[in-house]
Amino acid sequence: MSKPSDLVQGTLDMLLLKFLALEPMNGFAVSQRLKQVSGDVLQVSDGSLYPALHKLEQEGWITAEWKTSEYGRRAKYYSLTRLGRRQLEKEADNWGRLSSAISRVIKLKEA
Amino acid sequence: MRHEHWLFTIPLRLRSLFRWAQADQELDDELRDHLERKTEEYVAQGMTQEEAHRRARLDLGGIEQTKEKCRDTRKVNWIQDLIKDLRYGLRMLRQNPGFTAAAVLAIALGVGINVGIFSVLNGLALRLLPVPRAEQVVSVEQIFHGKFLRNAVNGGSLSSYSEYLNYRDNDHVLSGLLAYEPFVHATLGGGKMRELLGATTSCNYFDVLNEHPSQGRGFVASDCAAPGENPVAVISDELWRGAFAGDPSLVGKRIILNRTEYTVVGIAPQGFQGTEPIPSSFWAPITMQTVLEPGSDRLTADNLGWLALLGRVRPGVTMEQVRSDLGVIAGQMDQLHPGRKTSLAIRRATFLDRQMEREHLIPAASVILTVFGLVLLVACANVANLLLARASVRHKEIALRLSIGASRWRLVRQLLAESLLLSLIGGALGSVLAFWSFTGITRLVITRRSLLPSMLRLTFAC
Repeated sequence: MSKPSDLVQGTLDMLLLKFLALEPMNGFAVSQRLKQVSGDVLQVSDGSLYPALHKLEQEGWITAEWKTSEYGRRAKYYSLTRLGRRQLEKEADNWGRLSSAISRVIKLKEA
Repeated sequence: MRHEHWLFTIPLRLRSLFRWAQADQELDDELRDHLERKTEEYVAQGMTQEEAHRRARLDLGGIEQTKEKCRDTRKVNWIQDLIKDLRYGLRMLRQNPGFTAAAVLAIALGVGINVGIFSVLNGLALRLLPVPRAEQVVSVEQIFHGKFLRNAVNGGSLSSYSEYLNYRDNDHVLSGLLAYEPFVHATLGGGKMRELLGATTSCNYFDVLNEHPSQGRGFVASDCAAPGENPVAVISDELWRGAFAGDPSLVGKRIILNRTEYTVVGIAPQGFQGTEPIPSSFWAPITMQTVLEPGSDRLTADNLGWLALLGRVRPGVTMEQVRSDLGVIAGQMDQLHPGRKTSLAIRRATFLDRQMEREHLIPAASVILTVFGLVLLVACANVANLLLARASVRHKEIALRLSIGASRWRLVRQLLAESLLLSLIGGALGSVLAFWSFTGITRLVITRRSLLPSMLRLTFAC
C-alpha cells in the first residue's frame, strides 16, 4: 500500500474520524476536505483513502449508508459510530500528548 | 466495550462473507462515483473530458489494485479467498490430470503403506492389551540358560502347568496370575461345522483380565478342580453372533467342540478376543486340555512349556519388585532341576509378548518401516519436483497476476492452496490404502498362523 509519505503512521485514521465526526460525507468529499483543510500539505492519494475508509468501517468505527445526494446522485455516505467517537477521543488524546512532548523537546533552548 | 465492538462488526463480517457479490458491487459503484466527480472537477478546471478522466484514474492508482486493497480490509476476506483459491486449484488439478495423478498417487502410496505397517506394529507390539487398567497387566516369560533340555509348544519361553501353579501360589506382588494355552484348534460340531481357534485357560482368566462376560459367567475355581471333569466353555461375542445367530438363550445350552459336549456358561464381552494377535473364539478350563487335545496330557508334563502367563500387578508395586519376587520363585525351581538357569522376562502385556516373536517382528518391522519411510520421503521429493517443474511453466501466469494487482502474499496463498489440495487428496486416498494394507497385513498374519507357531516351535532351548 502506498503510504502518504509525510503523514505520521496512524494519523490518517484519526484525521478521517475527525472529518466524519463533523458531518457524514462520502469518499470524494473526504478527499476534497483533506486537501482544503491541510492546504496540500497532507497529500493523501485517492488510492490510499478508500482502503483506509474501508478499514475504519471494518473496525466498526464508521458506518456507511447509501444516500441520494443534493444532485440526485446516489453516493456512499460515511458517518461516525459511538465506537468511532470513543476511538477518536483516544487517538486525539494520544496525539495531543505526543505532539506537545515533541514540541517541548524542539523548543529547548541551547545553553 | 468488547461486546459493543462485536455488535458493530459481526453484521459486517457476515455481510462480506455471504453477500460479497453485493459488497463488491457497492465498492465498484463507490469508486466509479468518485471517478465521475473527480473528472467533473478537473473538467471544471478547464481540462478536456478525456484528460480529466485520465487524471482522475491516475489519482486513484490502479482501480483494480485499489479495489483489492479495499477488499483486503474485510477481516473475513481470507475465507472467500481460500474458497476461491481451492476452487481455482481444483480447476488447475483437473486441467493437468497427469500431474495430479502422479502427485496424488505418490503421496497416497507413501502414506498408505507407512500407516498400514505402523498400525499393525502399534497394535501388536506397542499398544497395551485392550483390557481394563491394562497398565497393571504384565506378561511373564521364562528364558532358560545353560545346558538344559526343555520341551516346548508354541515357543520356548512358555511355562508348564506346575510352574504356573508355583508362581501363582507363592508370589507376593500380583493380585492374580492367569495361564492360558494359545492357539487351540477345535472343530465346532452339531451341524454348524466350523474350524475354531481358542484357548484353554486357568479359571481366574476373566477375573484377572477384568473382562466379565456380557452374559452368563466366567470360569470359577471349581471348573478347574479335576482334569477332564468340567466341560464348560465361554465363547466370543463374534462366534455367538456368527454361528448361533445371537441366540439369546444360548447360555446353558451345549455345543460340541472336538466331539465333546460343552455347556456354554458365558459369552465374552463384545470385542474381547483373547490376548493373542489371532482372535480366540472360545475358552475352556485348562483342565479340559486332555479332552480338547486328545492324545497329549500336558497338565502333568512338568518340563513342557505350553502356557502363557499374564499377571495383574497389585497397586503400588513396581516392576522391579515384581521381577525380584517372581525371580526368587524361579530360582527355587532352578534348584530342583540340575543345569537349569532361568531368567524372567516381565513386561507390560501387549498382543505380542513372547521374546521369540518380538525378537523377530520388531527389527523386521523397523527395517520395513524405515524403508517405506524413505519411500515416503522419495514420494515427497517427487511431488516437490513436479511442483517445481510446473512453477517454471507458470512464470507467465504469475507475472500476469502480479501485474493486475495481486499481492505476493496472495499469490503464495493461492499456490499453497493448490498444494494443500494435492496433499488432502493424497492423504485421503492414503487413508483408504492404509485401511487396505492394514487388513491385508492382518489377514496375511492370520492365514499364515500355522506357520507362525511352527516357525517358533522349538524343542530345545539353549
